[in-house]
Amino acid sequence: MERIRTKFIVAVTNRLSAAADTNAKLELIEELSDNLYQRYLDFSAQGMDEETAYQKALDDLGDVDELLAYLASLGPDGEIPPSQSQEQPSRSLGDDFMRGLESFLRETISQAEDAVHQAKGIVKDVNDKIKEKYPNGFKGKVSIHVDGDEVHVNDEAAEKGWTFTAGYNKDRGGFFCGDRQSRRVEGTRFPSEALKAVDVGMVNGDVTIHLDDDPAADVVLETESENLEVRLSDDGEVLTVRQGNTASSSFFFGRGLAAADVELTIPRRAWESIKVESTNGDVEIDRGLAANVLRVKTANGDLSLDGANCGLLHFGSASGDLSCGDFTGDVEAETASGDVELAGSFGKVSASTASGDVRVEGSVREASCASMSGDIELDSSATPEKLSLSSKSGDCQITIPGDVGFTLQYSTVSGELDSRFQLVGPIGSRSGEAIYLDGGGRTFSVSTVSGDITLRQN
Amino acid sequence: MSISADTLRGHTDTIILTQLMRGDNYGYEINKTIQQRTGGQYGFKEATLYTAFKRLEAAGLITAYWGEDGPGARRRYYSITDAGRETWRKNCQDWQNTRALLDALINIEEE
Repeated sequence: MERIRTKFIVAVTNRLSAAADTNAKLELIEELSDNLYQRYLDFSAQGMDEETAYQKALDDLGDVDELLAYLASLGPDGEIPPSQSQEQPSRSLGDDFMRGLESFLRETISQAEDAVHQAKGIVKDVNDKIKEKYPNGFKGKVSIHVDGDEVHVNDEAAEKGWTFTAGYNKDRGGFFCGDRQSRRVEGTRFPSEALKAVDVGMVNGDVTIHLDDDPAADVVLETESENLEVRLSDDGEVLTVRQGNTASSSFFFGRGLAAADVELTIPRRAWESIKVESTNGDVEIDRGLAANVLRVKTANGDLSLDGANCGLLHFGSASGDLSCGDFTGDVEAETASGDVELAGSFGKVSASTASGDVRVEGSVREASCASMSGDIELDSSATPEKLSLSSKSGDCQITIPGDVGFTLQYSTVSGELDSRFQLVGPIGSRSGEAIYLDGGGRTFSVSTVSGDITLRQN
Repeated sequence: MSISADTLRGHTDTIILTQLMRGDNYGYEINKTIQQRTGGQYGFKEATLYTAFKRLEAAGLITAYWGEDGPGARRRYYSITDAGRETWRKNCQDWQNTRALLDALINIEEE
């Protein structure tokens, strides 16, 4: 039963990940996950099977946006703001941003001290922009969410079309901060000549991206819904598609009362960035997408991808699965209960899941995979340079050629270590470091609590 | 259910205050009582419930404390304040007035 409780904690933590780590947040996680767990027990007592009961209880969590706004409104020590005066006091967007940025820094790039200096510079930039934009102070609701390596600040009070993005991205020279002006465009067919990036954001509905073999083909949008908002950035480089073009239609989409599938056809060429977000829908992409960055985020939806070539694929989901075949590039995947299955040729793989399994096969240079209760299996035709695998109750299995040496750092509480390779060093104990051949500068670090650790030859 | 849900949403705070008028309680129990009293027709999503708790707490209408609940377990209880009782009374009165008005406005039997 503790396992289910943990699942709820992980799920709730995930849903609140956009908020900074404060005591208030931790207490809220404790409360919410405990209540969801009790709901789960009720459903189980009614005879529901574990997965159904879990899902149904989790569904009862509902929309956490307001809770996130509440957490964002707390003081640095978690004190409740003196609200209830009818008029909302004007708050500093810079402070909110700083808080969002801080948590993002902690989560994603704890290593770089000079990066923090750069970050401070950005916050100053942001503050300047805000002062410019709101000379009389800022009155409005701010939401911040961290999306992979980018922090987005949405300013709901401002007219639509003004957003800015800041974050950390190696390809953009480390930290960056920029804003972008965009305008509404009508129709379903858009010239693609200047386009470098496509950004689709949906609440309900599947997203399918087709590839047109003509590299100069127009971008074509097909959907049953008339309530889509399409915007083109002023520099003509970014096409944005959003569900809900009016307040009322956004409301219906947001409440799950309306759904629309979107099919987008884009020319087959090297894209700078493709971004798809769908809360409840699945995402499918034609075989052979080439993009510098592909970013897909869903709550429940799955992503399946075949033959893609991406500088970086970033997949984030609560319960969705990721399945990639014949992939080339780096992958970052985070899912709470979904499975991650990857096949292809990988530079760096980073995958984390709470209860799902992680399977990687093909050739892998570097991998870092973590699961709470799922199994981790890695099968590489070339010996990886660096591995870091960890699972609590799941098993970790590494399959490699064995033609070159490596150093194994392992630890397990009650699992067993089983190696097909002649390891030199202590292997009978709970943890230790053992060497195969000359070690060769390759380090595999594997840890489990109750899962087994297995090394095989392919 | 579709019509009433919107109306009920406007009275979330009053509904919660009503439950706390019966005594201190914690989130799950409060929601369960609401579900039972409505014959399973209505219950809050966790996020809605907790947003309301936080709102009421910030307004000084309720207070929260951690209570022990068995070995190693703790649970956050909510308690109504005097200001909360006052607000509850006022909200109930408001609703009675609104209801009387609505009844008068949508009743066609007498015409």
